[in-house]
Amino acid sequence: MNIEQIIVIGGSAGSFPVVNVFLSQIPRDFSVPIILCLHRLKNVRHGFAEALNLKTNIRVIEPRDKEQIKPNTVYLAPANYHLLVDYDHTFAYSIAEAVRYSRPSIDVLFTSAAWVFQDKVIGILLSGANTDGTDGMSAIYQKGGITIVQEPSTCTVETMTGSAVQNIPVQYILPPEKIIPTVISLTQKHF
Amino acid sequence: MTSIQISHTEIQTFLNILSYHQINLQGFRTIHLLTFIHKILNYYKFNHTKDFFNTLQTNYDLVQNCKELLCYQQSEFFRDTSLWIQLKTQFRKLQQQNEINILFPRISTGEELYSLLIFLEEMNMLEKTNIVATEVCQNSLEQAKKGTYNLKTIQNLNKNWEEINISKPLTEYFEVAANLVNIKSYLKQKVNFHLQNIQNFYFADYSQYDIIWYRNQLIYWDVEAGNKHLTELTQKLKKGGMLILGYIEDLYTYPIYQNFEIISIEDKIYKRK
Repeated sequence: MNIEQIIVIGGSAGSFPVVNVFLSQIPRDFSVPIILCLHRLKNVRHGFAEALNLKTNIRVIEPRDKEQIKPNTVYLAPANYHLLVDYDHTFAYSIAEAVRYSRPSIDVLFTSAAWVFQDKVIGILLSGANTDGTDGMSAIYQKGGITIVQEPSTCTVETMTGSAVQNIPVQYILPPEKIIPTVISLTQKHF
Repeated sequence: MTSIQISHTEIQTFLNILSYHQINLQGFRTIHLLTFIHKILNYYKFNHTKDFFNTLQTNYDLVQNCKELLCYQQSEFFRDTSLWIQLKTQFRKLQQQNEINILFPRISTGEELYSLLIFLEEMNMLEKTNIVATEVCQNSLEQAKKGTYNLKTIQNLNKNWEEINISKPLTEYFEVAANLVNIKSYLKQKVNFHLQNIQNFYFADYSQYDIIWYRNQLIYWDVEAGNKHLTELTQKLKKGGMLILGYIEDLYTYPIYQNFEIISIEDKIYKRK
């Protein structure tokens, strides 16, 4: 499967409503795979993907180990594992130590996506209460990918986005309502 | 992470050097190798992969440290409570047996191993159980044998304890000393600890096992290597014996699945046909 673009989205405290709105506005035929890494309670296995599925036109699933990345699918990192992507365009997992207190870690997912998909990655960082995500966004930028950050003033908690904006060149700093139109324009040829 | 570019050729060079030192990582997933190489470059402050590889070729201590760092995994007490709840039903089926043999390859630092021991004790099955526990990392194995952990590792355990419905208090199994907790000796003494090679399992003298606990190991290997590991383990699993994998691992990914039937798809418990 030739993947021409991939979207990775990271968030923590306050990101769930933004993700929900984002997913509800995605066109049914949107083919670019989307991978979500949202900080979550490590012992709660169910309910998250189900809640996201309620409002989206595209199915949201937690990928199995070594599952092939497919178009027109939203993937959600499960609790208590790091989610990565591998060079054969499959998902990989690790139970390595938490990164910035987080497992799944946004840095881990975003960095692996940057290594594998290089400039085909669109990284989106949303509201959150720690600095996970900054290194991952930096990796995406260094590989020529696109970096989008939710405007910190619109975040419930702005630590995560504030850190990214302060430490790396971010191409788009947007309020929630502008994220989806921007993503659609950046991916237009692929769906 | 470093911003150093690492090519696939360099990853292969790394594998070749380790292989020269008798560490066979063929089949280890590329993304995990790449993550590891970046980690080690950061840790030892190498600015170029070439410097790292040159040092690795001649410095045996660095090779050993690489092995330790590469193989280190994080273990947890009572990870995935739903598994333990499901195991209550499954383990009851073994209660009539006079002897139960369990193989636990790759115990890491031992938290999950001791969870299993505590669980067996709760099921009144510990006394008749033989446990062979192995680990690739010498440091992790020593820590597991010692059974001493930071107090923080059990501080949030009460909720899991309640969910699994473990009847005895934590103090029945742990001794608290300052900021540390020690696993009680009677639990540690039940375990037959062994160092194992990274790709070759250690099976001790038991001809076959009732349970093989192999959670969150297949995630590090490609399908071919994973299937090879599972094939070796299957040969040592009794017919009707249980294979327990990690929550995210799916036996159907591997050709060996034909030898198994599902006990719990959610908790990844399989029975050998």
